[in-house]
Amino acid sequence: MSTAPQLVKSFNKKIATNNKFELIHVSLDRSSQAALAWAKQEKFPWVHVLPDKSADSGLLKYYKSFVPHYVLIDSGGKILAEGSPAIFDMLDEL
Amino acid sequence: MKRVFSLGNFICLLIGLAVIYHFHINKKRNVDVQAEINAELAELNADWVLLKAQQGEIEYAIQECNKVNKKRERLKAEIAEMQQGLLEHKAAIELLTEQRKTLFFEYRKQIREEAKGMRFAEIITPQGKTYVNVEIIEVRRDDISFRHGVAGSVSARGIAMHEFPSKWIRRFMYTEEELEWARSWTSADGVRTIYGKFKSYDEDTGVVTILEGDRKRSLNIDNLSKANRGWLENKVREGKAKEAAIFALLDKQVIGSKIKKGVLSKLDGDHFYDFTMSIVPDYYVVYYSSSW
Repeated sequence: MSTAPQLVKSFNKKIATNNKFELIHVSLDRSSQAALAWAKQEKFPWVHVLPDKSADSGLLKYYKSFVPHYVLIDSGGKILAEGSPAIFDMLDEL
Repeated sequence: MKRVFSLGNFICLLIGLAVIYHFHINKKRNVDVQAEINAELAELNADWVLLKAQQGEIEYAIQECNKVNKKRERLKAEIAEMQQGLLEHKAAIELLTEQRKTLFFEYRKQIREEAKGMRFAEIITPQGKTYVNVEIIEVRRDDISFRHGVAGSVSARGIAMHEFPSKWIRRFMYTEEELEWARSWTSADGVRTIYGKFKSYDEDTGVVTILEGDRKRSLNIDNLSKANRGWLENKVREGKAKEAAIFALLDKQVIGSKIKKGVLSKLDGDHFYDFTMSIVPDYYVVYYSSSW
């Protein structure tokens, strides 16, 4: 089952309305077309790093070989939390 | 004469002297050893006093540490309480903001309902059209209908948001955001005007995108009036200044410096467009996933 609808809810509640936070989806699809098809289907409201740009984003070094994977990083690149529940709990405290 | 100093006596004397000497020497030696022991004892005593003092200091330090730890625990509890309080305040502010918004809309609804039958001797639209003896029929979200004219030639009509006189905008509480939908876009020759909300301007292609309700329209800047072009140029200047300030802050970040421009995309209907960062977040939630 897709985790995206729940994530969209959490995003709208805690991230979209707060300029302190940004959610970036790093697409691990093989092509931008596949990423686009999925984004259209789920109506993703956040920003994406498409497959051809992932190397430039500097975000692959935080990835841990499984999906979905969530990481909360501060602006200095320090990992603060991993996993969706831990991250969204922590956002309340930041 | 009897010999007093026989050999035996002599030996006894020698032994006696030796014993006396031995005792004397030993006594002297004992005195020296005693003195040494006393000195060592004095030293040990001094060390003992020092150690006692150090023990006292350590005990005092432990007591202080305990006090600090207790204080730390208290502060930790206080911080947790304050954090909880902050969360509650945040929730209360959000609730108040919502309530304020609701009250604004309720009040506005009431004001607009009470506007029915309101009379104005004269109104002048931004386009210069004058209506006299105006009586409001209805104030709606996007337009206002009214009767006007003198006895015998009374007629009714409605005007859209772009025609609202400024006093009506204030009185009937139209917001800046709503008024953005009434922005006018006039052709360079001044013949045609359409109304819509500014969405974007691509400086490279010169294409301006506006929204007329749900409908998107693309206009070429060269075909627009001088006023519109001036407004757009100003918008571009402001946008660039804002972007430069934001980029300067993002460049100080490990994450922001890499993603600020040319890396991110965002969905717009059925396609992705290049997304440029317009805020400086403190924290990034990175979501790795795929459609498969």
